[in-house]
Amino acid sequence: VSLFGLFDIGKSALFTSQTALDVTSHNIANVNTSGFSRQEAILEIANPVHSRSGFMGRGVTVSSIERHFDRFLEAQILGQKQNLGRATILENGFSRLEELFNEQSGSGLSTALTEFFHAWQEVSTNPQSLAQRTVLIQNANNLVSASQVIEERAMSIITSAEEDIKVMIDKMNDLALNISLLNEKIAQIEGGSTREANDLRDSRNRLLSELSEIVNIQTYEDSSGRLTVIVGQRNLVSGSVVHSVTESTTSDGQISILLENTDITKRITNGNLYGLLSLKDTIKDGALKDVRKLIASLIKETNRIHRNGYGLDGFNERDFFSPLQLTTRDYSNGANITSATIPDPGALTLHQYEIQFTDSDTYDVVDLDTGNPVITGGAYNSGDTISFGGIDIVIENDGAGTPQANDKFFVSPLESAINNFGVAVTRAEEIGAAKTSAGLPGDNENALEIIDLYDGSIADLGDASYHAFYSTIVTNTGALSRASKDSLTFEEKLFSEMQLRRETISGVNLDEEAINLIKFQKAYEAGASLIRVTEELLDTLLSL
Amino acid sequence: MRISSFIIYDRITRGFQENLSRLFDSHEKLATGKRINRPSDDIIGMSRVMDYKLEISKNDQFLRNMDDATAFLEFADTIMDSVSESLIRLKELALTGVNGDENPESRQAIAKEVSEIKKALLSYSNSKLGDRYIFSGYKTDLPAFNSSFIYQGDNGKIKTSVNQTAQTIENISGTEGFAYTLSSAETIALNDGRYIHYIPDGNTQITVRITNSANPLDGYDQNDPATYEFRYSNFMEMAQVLEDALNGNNVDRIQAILKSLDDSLEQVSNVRAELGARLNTLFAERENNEDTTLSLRSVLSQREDADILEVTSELSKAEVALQALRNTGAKILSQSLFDFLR
Repeated sequence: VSLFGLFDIGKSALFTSQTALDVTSHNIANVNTSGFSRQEAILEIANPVHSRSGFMGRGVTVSSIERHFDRFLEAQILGQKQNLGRATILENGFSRLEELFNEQSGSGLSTALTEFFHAWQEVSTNPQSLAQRTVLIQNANNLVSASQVIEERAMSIITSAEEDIKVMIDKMNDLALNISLLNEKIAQIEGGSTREANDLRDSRNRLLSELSEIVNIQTYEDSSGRLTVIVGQRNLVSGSVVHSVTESTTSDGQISILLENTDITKRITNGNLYGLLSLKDTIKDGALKDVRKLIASLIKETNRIHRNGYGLDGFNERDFFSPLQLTTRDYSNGANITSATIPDPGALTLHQYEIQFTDSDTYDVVDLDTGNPVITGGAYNSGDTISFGGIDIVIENDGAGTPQANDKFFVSPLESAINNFGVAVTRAEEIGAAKTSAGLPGDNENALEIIDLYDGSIADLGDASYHAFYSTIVTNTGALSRASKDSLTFEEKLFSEMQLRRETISGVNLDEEAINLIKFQKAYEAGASLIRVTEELLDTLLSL
Repeated sequence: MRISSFIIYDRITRGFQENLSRLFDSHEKLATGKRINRPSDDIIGMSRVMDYKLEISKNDQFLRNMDDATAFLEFADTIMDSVSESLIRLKELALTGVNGDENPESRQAIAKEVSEIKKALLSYSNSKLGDRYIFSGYKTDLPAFNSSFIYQGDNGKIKTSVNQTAQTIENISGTEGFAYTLSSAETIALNDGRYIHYIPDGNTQITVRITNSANPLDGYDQNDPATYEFRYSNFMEMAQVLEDALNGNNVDRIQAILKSLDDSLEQVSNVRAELGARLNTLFAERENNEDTTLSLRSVLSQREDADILEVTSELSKAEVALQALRNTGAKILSQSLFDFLR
């Protein structure tokens, strides 16, 4: 072995230490980068050479730069991100919903409702007095605005959820595109070798983690390092190909999420998107519908009794609140609802219905609240009145012809109950406190009957009283909020545990890197000394 | 376990957040004084709180109803007291009138006072509290009796709720307060062998007939009823009869009116007993109401109010924890091996 071989060993020591210092610096630089995995230069003994005295070591090389990364743990974290994404949305939404029904702060609907009936009590003790009647109209108006505040704010939670869904979908498409670009780069760089493109993989993983927060995903990697991302059993990304996600509002007002034109809404079961979808439906079919039902019932019952009452001006048959109106929607191609009326408000059921055509001249009417049909196999003639649940509907053929199978018509007395809620009585004299006959200002029998409504059980509310029914809404929203808070705390704890475990493996510790810095600096210095010593040896030799 | 630098910062940040949120919770409880600040703080508790608050609010309303009813009933009682005094005075005057020492002139003088009392009775019957004629039944916009002493009201009973189940009637009608009914005909024999018959004649009208027979129909000339009989249907008409009898020096009729006045006084005292009974019930109900409200307020407070001592100690605990975190945080975060590489 020549003396020059010593230079090689020295050189290998210098190069290796420099690489190790590179890796250390990279780690230090990325100490705060999210998703970064600590890297380590793996040193290896260089191939020895054979000599007469046996094998001689030839220094050191860097065999690879490895990242500390636990594939299994990363997969768990992705799953947990989905849970966290769902829980965050639900907690936020249900807390906002709860505030609408928070009877502890300020005056809620319950107070307004009680004050409304108290005002009737005042009228009953002083039926002839205009002052008390004026207060009643005022309190009725307060009740209207209290309920409209709830309607408006609940709707704003729903619409902001719908807007967020659109934002999430845009973000999904962005992330999918970036993942596909990284897929290509990784495949190119790794080029079939066993070495991994550490930093690119870390970046891709960070995107996956963001995507997981939005929606439940599954992934698998092919032999060249390309990742396939699956959402709702369809490919979102496969290698460098991206499929786009779109959103469409179906005719019945439901939001559908489409992946390459396939509806995957039902298969979205986690993440922000699921949270938003379920938040929207829970409010729409839960609290909001219940409050509408409560108000609808109040309008129905108050008017029913009030119509029997005589005002101070001697007239009866007057509505106290503006009468309920029907909301209808046509999901049809060949016919329209041309008239929707409530012939007898007292006989109206507070359920929502759907008229479903099985063919061009046969229809079923289904009670959407119970799921039971109320009319089966009705014969359709254009312009005939269809009556059910106290509702009269007229459907007529339009330019496109007769109804077709699967045409649907939605009919609801609830949907606009709060929006159209108003006090019909404008003058104090019009309040019908008297029952016996006209011209009895001291008669309060009708007022007493309306007061009895408050404690009576209301058939439309499942035989609950107004207070009990509202109280159930409050406790339900409270329970939703409580559960979502608990769930968020749990998911956060779990996520934090996983993060700790991930950091244990992949995180950068500055003290450790400082030690490495010294370690490789010293090694570098020693390598340099080696070269200096070799040079001196050569000088010695040359000066012979 | 290997600890990364990120996790140190992360855990300290998290620790601050947790402690601050605990501090915030305690502070909210102190600021509102309530343990339940939103339904999710205690779902069952919230539902109870709503029930209690409703009961309290209803009780307050019942109290206001009772205030109104009490005002009306007490006012009616005051009026009935005056009515009673007027009737007693009428009886005194009638007794003076039947006295044989009196002559037609002196009787006419008495008639003048009777006339004044009659007017007073009419004005009592048309008493008004606020904008309500209190003796007109449901027809509260009309005076109970017009100037011809015809009742213009009805028998409407204005009810108001005093608790969840019971109602009280806050008025008495003109026919209860200013008239009476006979359940059957009554006859009294006079010393001179004649008889006075009191015959109920529908509603509160009473026909008084003076004949020579115990049978009211014997010796009664139907073609000349004015000679034999007179009728009245309320106190004012009764006073009118008395006034006319005094003016006409008709001692028989003055005599006959005496029993009517006794019956009237009995009616007034019955009505006042009824008013007293209603007022007593209201009084008892008011006490009951206030007791219930008091105990409801105490259970409400137990449910929703924060235990200030407990919250304060929670607050100081959170403060101590936060302080400790700041101290240790400052130590941990400020130390690094890099500090020594100089």
